[in-house]
Amino acid sequence: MPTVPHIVIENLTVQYRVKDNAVLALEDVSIGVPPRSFVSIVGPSGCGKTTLLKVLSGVLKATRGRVLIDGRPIEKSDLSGKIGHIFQRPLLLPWRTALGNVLLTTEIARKEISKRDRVAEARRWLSLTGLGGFEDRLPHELSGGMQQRVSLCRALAFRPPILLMDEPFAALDEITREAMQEELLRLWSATESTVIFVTHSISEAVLLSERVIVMTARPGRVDEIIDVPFSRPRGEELRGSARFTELVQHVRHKLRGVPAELREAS
Amino acid sequence: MKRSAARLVGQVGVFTAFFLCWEALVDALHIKPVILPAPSLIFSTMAKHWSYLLDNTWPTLFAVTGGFVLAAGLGFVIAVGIAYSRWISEMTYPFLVAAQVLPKVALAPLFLIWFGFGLTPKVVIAALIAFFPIVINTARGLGSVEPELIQYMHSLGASWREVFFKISLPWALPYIFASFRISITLAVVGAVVGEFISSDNGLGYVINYANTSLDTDVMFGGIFALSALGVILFLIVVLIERMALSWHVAIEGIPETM
Amino acid sequence: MIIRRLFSVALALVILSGPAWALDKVTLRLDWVFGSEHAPIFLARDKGFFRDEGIDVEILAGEGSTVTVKLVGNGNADFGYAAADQAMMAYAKGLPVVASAVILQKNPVAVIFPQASGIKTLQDLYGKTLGVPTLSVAEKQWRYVEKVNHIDDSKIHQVSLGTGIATMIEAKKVDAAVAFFFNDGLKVVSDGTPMGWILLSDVGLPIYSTSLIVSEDTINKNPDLVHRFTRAFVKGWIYSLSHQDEALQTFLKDNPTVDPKYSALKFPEVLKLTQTPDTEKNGIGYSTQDKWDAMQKALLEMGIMDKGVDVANVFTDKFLK
Repeated sequence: MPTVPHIVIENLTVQYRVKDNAVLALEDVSIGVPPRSFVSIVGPSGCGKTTLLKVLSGVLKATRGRVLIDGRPIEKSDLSGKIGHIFQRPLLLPWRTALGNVLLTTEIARKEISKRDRVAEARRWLSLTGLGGFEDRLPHELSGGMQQRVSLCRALAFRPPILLMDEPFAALDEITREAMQEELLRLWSATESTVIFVTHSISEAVLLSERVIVMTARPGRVDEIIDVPFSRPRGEELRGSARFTELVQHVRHKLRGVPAELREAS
Repeated sequence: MKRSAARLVGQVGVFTAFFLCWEALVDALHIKPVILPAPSLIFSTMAKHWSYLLDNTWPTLFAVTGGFVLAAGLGFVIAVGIAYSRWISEMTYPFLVAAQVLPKVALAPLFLIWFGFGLTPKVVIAALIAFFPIVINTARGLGSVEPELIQYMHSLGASWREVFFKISLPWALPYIFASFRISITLAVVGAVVGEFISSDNGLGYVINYANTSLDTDVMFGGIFALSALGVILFLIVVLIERMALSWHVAIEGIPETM
Repeated sequence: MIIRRLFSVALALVILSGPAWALDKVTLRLDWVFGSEHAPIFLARDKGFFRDEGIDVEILAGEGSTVTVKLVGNGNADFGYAAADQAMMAYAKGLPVVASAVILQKNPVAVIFPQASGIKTLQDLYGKTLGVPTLSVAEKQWRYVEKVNHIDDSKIHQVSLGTGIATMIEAKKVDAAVAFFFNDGLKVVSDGTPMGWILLSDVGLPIYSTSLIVSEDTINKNPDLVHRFTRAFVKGWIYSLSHQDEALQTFLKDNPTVDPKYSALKFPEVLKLTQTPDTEKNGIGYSTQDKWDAMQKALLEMGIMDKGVDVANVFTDKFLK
């Protein structure tokens, strides 16, 4: 697998035009993402989370500021085949089986690996996510949660150094969601990828990441960067612990805009 | 199994009811056969002249198939242009609409001058009438691919060929086949229009010739044969669609007709 | 006093105009779109010949003799102007229509060709391309002429044409065509190319052409109406023969969108077709049993009709007196 880069976002400002208006999506955002870290971005709608992901995947360009990949500007870096995406919707190809869908990324980005090895790798990921017997199923024969798991496998199978996840569990019910969070942590520990994870859910962000970036909206700005001290592996029992709840509360207050003095009092 | 058998019985039943009503109407109103023959007369005439009708089915079939294939090929190429180039899309769209609504019959003598006699003008007219749904639907299908998926593919380093053949084209296939179902029947219409304009064979010719001989029963025999031809071709397209798009059929159930 | 006088004047006027209310409203379906070949019919209407016979006629354009014959036979039109052979075929198929006046005594279907082609006889067609029409019974007539004149079919490159015969000749896609000489042939002349033609009736096809037809039913139910209509109809033709300009102008006035040059070329030729020794002796529209018999024989030989009819039923000249 290609080396995992150190990502630095420096004073990033992104402005674009919608019809005749200028929209300031991100203003002066600075974030450091060490290699192999799991970083979450939490914020209300309009805080530029998706814009940030688009800049990282090269779809959007910075208006001001820059993004550095291992010290080089992103425009000069070759990130082709190095970024895995997981979207809110599974976006599987309906005519391919689960196995076929997982194979898509290695088919395109890891042609140097033999077909046999690619298939074996795809099967491995599918059974890791509990979809062992479902390889030959078509997407419409799978539940929403299962489809999202296939999408996860698809992204992980080609072992990208960077994983961008845009609210991947938002469409799932709570029980499935919690199960998927734990599964993600398990899977991620088997890789060495950097994950940048966008979510609306504070508890999800705190559970999964070592760094939570809290953003405010209109324009999108970094409000606070919180380091999550819990050690790994993190399990289900963490959810109920006092320290966990406290941290979640802190982030929640931050998002609601309650001043620090008053937070102390409650 | 039982459900599709019941469905077939029902569909045959509709045809039977239609013909029975027709038969009864002709009888009750004492309509002369030269004006409107009864179905029983038409069917017996068809049986009597079956080899004449069959001999003339082949030329029409060739014209229809040729026209359809030409429409599909041309339509596909133009659709790719429209889907991937906004410039082409904007420039050509009004022209395509105008070309579609133009009555091809009016251009018929010109076709004869440009394409001569025989099979060619029929194929061209059939293609012209059949190709518009293919262009529209194919372009729409190609343009309907999830943009996030396309961006993902590009970020993986996929070539445009890989994106087109692995993602866009299969994604557009349901749309393309839907347009094929419409276009095959339009191709039949087109081929017959061509035969009316200039032909000494084919079912269109049979219909015409019988008309001027006041052989109305033979004329209807030709019309029925033409209908049967259209239905068979339509079913062939549906069959191919089911095989190519088994995944889509499973989701959508019975494919919706036009 | 004055009121009473006015009242009786009004009453008198009402009574005098009584016939106007009592006019028979009838429809006349022609064989084709309006052309100067129909000028005498428009003249008859505009000059009041029909009105004088107590008839209010509505003239409708047609889509070919085949359709007109069916409409008249089925009761959808009161009278029709259509080809005699189609009328006979219809009668044989159980649709009894009768010709009460045979106007065009000679079939206008001909082999037409540019004069420059040098064609003089049918044999001159050998090695040339001939357009044969698909949309009318003319194709069958051509086959008959071929047989009767012992023409070797294989020596002529024959192609079928539907519409646009004139265009195909002008574009030189065909060297000659079988067509109505006064339609497609004169159209080409009007566009600037002198044409020649060989009438099929001159090379062995003895058939009558466009006639006034009416259903047997109408004759049985209302012979007086048929008599009056036929009289007015034929009067239009008689008058037009000696007042050609007036007839043409009347037509052009009623149909301002037709090409006047083409119409002027056509009209005299059409009138010529109404004149034969029979009609010169007995009047326009007259036909004979012999000629009808000959026509039926030809149709049976052509294979257009499978069984014959008693021709005496298919035509009558009793309404011409």
